[in-house]
Amino acid sequence: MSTVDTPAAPAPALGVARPSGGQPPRRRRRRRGSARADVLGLVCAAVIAFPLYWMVLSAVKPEGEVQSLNPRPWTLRPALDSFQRLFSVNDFGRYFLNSVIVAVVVVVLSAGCAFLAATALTRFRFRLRGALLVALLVAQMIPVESLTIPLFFLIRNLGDAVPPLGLNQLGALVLVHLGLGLPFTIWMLRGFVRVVPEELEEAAYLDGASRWQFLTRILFPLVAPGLVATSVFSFINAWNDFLFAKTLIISAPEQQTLPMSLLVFMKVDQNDWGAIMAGSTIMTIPVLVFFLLVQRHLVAGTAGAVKG
Amino acid sequence: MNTTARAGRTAALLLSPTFLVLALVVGYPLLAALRESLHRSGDELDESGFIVSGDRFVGLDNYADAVGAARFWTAFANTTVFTLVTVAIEVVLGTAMAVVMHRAMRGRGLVRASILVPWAIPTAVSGLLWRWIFQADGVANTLLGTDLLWTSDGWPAKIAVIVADSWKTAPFVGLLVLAGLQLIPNDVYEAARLDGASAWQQFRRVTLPLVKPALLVAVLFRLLDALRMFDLPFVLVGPQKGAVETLSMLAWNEANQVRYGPAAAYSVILFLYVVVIAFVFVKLLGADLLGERRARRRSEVSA
Repeated sequence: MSTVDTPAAPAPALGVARPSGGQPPRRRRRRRGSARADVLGLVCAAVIAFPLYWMVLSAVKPEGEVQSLNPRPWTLRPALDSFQRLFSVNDFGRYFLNSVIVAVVVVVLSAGCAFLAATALTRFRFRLRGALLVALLVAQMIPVESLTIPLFFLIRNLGDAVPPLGLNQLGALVLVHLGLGLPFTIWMLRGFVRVVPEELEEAAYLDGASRWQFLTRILFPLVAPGLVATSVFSFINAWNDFLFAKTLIISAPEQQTLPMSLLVFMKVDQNDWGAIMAGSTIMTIPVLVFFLLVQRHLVAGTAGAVKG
Repeated sequence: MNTTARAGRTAALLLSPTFLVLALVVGYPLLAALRESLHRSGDELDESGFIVSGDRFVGLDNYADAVGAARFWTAFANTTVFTLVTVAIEVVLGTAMAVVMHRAMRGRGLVRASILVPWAIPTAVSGLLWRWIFQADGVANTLLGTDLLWTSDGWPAKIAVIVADSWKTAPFVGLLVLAGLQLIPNDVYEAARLDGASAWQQFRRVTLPLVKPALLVAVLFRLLDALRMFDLPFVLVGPQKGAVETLSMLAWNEANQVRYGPAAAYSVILFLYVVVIAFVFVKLLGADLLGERRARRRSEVSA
């Protein structure tokens, strides 16, 4: 998927001589400017990456070194005992798997819903269109954290009707994250759907394609890079969640997600920072992998949203 | 463009899954909160000294109490200050990051990835990470040579939250601005350079105006998010700390104390605050944000 080339892929602009600007003096100046940008970029990246370095460092420091009055920015004795304490938490693998299930299901469902909705809101003209667009924006303004109580009751009642969406079920988490992520996802995707020329649609109908065929055979492949971009947002939202895992999974430890395993190490008197940082590192890795795989599409994808 | 009744029906079909989910997850809790905010539960003595229990309709009493409480105004001020300061910092840093990400040639992918990573990290994790950095014997005090209790209360706690939030979210602004930068054709810079514009002039006169639409989208979404800030101060400093308590945290805290009525009132007030800010922002700066104006113009042409 990550090898698909996108139209808005960054142009290798600066430093590369274009036919119109090939005179030697200007070229030299541009190269100097670009070297400065390189350095600036590396400094930026270093400053931003420092806390991350500290996180990984603290995770691999031996127990005595993590908490010290003179923290050193390196360790001579890397150790994995923090990870051992982390993995010795009951069901750590189960938590990890639950998190993956929730995030993946949310990504797939929200890509589907958002594709259909963005298409309807972009390519169809109907009476309530403007109102629905505003409704989406308003949905983005709900202070979700303070509405956990009504959500809790909703999920409890829903569980009586549809058991897989009730309390202590991963389905409840999927439903909540799907709802909270959709407005932004649709917003981003609209720009993508809009740039597909209308002539293409007319041509498809002239060739006897049905609406459904146009959607699945023509529009979907064209919008796919945008879906990859939005999937990063849905993935991160679902993966990062702490609050709803805590609110909706109340009495089923086997249905807990990854962030909850970190809570084990938070104690009133003394936090186990080594294990917390090890857990944080483990939690960050899947996001990074996912992110590195799709980051090229992500930038191209946001261009779609911005252009809209 | 499809304007027939059949188009309306198809659109309804395509939109139904999304709006079904939204009605459940967003619509229902909001209506429930509105209703709840007009009620109060628990035992209380009425004027004649009788015990009244259960859910009672109290009109706007919860709102009146909320607006009368000093704690509400502290949270309101915190929310506003955090929003203004962090969004301002994030816009400046994010734009700078976008320019760097756009220009850097060697190791471009790596630079871009490492700049964007903080945004991809779970908020709970970055909250913990910064808590660890800002703790009394942590690396922040060591590096700065200070002896501050960053994560307890007072202005150091405010600064800690602002630093952590800017670190975490500037990349998001950077990402959206970068997308905008990539839409600017190179010839524009070429022309500006031929006219003898300096790098700064190019940035002020060419980059900034052209990247403005992207920037506005980024700022709008950041405003909506920052006003609802919850988990970062919660993890970094903790609940019930006057210096960093936001409206979201206050509402959550009330609900946690089983005072659902007041909690709902705080949530509704916060929601209205966000709506007002978003409305003003769209009116003042981004009339075309919804893309409606262009659509209207297009339909006029085709009509």
